[in-house]
Amino acid sequence: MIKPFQYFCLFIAWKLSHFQERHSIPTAMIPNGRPAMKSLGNPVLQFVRGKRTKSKGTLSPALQRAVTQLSVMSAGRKQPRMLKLSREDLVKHQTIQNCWALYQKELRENRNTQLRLQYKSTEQAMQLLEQLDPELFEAANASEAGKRFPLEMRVPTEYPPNKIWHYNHKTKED
Amino acid sequence: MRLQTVSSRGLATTLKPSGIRAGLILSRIPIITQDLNKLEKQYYEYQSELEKRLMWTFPQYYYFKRGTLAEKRFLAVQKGPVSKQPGVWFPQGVPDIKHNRERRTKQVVNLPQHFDSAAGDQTSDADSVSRPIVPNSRSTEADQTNDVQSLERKLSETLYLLVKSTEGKWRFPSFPVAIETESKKPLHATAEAGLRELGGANVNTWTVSNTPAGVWGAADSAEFMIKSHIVSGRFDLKQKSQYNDFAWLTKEEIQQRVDDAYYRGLSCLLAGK
Repeated sequence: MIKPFQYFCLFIAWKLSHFQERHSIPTAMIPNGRPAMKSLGNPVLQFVRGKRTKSKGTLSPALQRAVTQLSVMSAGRKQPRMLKLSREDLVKHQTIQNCWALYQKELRENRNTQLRLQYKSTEQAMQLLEQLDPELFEAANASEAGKRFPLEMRVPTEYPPNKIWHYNHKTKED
Repeated sequence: MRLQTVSSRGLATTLKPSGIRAGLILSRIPIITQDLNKLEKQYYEYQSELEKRLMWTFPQYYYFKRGTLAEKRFLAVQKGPVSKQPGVWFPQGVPDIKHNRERRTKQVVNLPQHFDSAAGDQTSDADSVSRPIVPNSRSTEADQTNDVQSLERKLSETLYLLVKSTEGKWRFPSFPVAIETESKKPLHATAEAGLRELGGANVNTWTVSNTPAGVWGAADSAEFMIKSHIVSGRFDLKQKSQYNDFAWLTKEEIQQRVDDAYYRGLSCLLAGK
């Protein structure tokens, strides 16, 4: 009983022998190095691995790199599954967001009223100063263009620094 | 108009020898972020969990080169997802895995702890690069002892300098403005100079503006408040003739110490609850 694969091998060997006869290829070109005529007697072709002449894919390395980078950047495979809230969860979420918006509104209004009060307070002070002492009023009203924040002032952080306060400041003698 | 004000001023100075004073609201701005209340804490936690759930898969290949020890160490501490098998019942739901990540839930990324394994050699830990990061405490020693003269108290709030007059009243420090024309200085200069005279020269302050932020008192004894920040240095009461005590207080504490009218007049100038 001959299996289909063996038929196939036999067919290849037969084809090869005919090809060689027609084109008279030297036997050294045949992969296993044995004369092809003998393979008619032993039809199983032995494959010997030669030197690899191409890189893994058929693409050039630069193109391959671009393809890899594109696939790395593409969103589809890295995104989590869409968040589908049930009706109850959606109501909960909306309640939380509304609560936060209300709280922020309250804070904003407090801030705005305080700013308005501060403006009024300054205005009142300046009006009184103008009545009491115009010279001091002029000095208090002088332009302060180019005034900068001192560099030593720091922005609040989550945790305090190792040295919290620099007590030993020495004023420069002019 | 100008002529009128000058003439009226001339009249006032001849009648009363200028009761104008320059007050100073000296503040220490917060050093750490403000404490969160319950609502803020819960809301931020909720948002952070939402963000984690919606976060894209951690690009581990970007941070760790393939085949390195660092990658091995990182992969060793990751808890891999449960993969989908045919014919198996999954009580937690059918896994949906891409790029070695369970897409239905948030991705937990564990960082390898280098220092835990090397806990034995604690001698060189102080300078070691891989020593554990321990943040400083948000409450300080001055908070525990309730030292109101320390600038290191209540780091999350704005502190204001208050002084106690010899009559026993807590006030913002204020200084008389010179009336003579040759030694007359603007209000903020008077206030700054007065502060250094009162509390020593080694204090670094930054005046917010030449313009007074408010006024306390009527025309005959008006006290114009100048705002300023202390940047560094120390305030120590040198002269005890006018004031005999000082404290760095938050807005709430100021309300407890000063009288009601004074607080109501100036509370809009103060930051805090």
